Amino acid sequence: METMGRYTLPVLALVVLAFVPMVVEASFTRHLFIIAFIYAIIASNWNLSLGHCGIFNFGHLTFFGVGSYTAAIAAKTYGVDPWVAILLGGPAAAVAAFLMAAPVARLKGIYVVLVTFAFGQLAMQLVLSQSDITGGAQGMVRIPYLRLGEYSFLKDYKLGYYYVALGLLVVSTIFIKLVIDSPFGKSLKAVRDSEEYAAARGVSVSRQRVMVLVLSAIFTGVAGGFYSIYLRVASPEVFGFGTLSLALSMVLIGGAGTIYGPIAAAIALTFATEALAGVRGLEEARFIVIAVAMILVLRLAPGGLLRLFEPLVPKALRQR
Amino acid sequence: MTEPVLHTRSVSKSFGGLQAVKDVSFEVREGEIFGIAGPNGSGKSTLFNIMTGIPFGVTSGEVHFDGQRVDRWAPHRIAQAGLCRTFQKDAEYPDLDANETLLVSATYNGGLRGAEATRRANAVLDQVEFDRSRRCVLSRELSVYEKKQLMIASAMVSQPKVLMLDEPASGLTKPEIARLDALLVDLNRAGLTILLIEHVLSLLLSVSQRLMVLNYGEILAQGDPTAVVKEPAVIEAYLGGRRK
Repeated sequence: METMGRYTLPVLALVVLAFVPMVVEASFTRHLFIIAFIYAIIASNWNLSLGHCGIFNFGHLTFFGVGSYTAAIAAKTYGVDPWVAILLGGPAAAVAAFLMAAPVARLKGIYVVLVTFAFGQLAMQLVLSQSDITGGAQGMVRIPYLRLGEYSFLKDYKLGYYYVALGLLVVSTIFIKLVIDSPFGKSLKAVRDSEEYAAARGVSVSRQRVMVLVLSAIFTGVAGGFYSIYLRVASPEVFGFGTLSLALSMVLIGGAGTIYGPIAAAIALTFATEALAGVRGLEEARFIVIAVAMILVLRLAPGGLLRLFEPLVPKALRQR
Repeated sequence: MTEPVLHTRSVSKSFGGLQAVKDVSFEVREGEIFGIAGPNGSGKSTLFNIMTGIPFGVTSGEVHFDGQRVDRWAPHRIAQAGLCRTFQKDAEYPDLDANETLLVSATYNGGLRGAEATRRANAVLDQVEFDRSRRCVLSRELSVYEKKQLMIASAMVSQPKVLMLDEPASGLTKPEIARLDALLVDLNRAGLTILLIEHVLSLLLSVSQRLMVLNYGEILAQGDPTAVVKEPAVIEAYLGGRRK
């Protein structure tokens, strides 16, 4: 009964989101939802390493970028089916995460930030310099789109892409939930809160860090792959600071260490930034507004906005 | 004579010019409670740290445990081998409850999975008499005594060969110390070897079969507890006499 109660709110949210396209027919609004779902996958997986394991990983968008370019190159250059190309983003990002994790596993604090950020810049430079393969600063365009038999995803006002993105978000969230609820997930919190205590109880701190970075990269990479196939573009902008700071604000505003906080924040902030873009004078300054919101949340509600609403939710329905 | 399950050979630890532990050699026999006493700053906790590699290892010397030299091992590997410690300060996972805390130890230190890990965790929580109604409360909300119980239980769940306790009685009331005394005696009777650092001398003398006193990182005396505490050098160290 309690288990049923705990899943009530997420399932309700899913049912609502599943019915959105029935009500919302505007292609652009559906597009915003799709982008929100992609950001939700990025933020909630980032939260695995940042919120649950306490790794100041500033290279998370690199996994997204690697997934994005893997799918683009696979689908366009090598003619791989776009469905498969999307999935290839996962293992490619996991390999990138492993390469980044190796030097990070034994570092602490600011050094983790520096190395992971540098890794992202390195990946971007690699993309820019290998223009024969990646298109360089121009990126890659006209990437093959999704088809399902005779059904083309280009002519349905984004209905198909909406459900694929939502499906990816659901699978990614179930994956995160399984990880968090497992003994491995508990050990991540142990490592985050007391490395020495965890090591004294047989937990290899560096191994858990490597593993969580690799796990957090899988669905981020798949989301990157989907992003390229959906937009039919792969651009070095995905490695940029703007994308990084927006995704980070989703993790922090939603609540690092929660499961659904970053997802809710991703949906809210995607629509908020879009709404702000329509306000005269705020077109370019909207990210400053989001940054100020992030600072305010960190100062006033360090646990994230979701935790502020927790007392309003009956205990049986709560998720930690 | 029983074989030592744990012994050190001339272990030392330096921090720059400061030598926190100097040339300490001692052995712990299987099945005993071995007490370690000494004034603040005498190197007791540092000795625990370098023996377990948490957070640092020896500068020189050797640590042997269960027939193997372990001073170059990774800390988690030493714990998995059965040398488990607690900490002087409250160590806890604030966002995990007692069941989850023990699940981590049972999985990673005890090699247990699923129902077996849960069963073992419950048995150990019962053994340390951890209140059943408090097992789903987050660690951050537990009392000092409950946190101590949990720290000991999280070590016990992997059935260690040697349990190293660093001032378990600090911050406890007299009745709680009495409960702790009884618990340590029970654990020892069940066959557990215990290495105990303690400032509460009544507890230390009550449970220890042998005692070592450290001062300025060196061994001042070791042997029978009642004889050791009567040695003039030990009395001088505890009463703050001038060091010769």
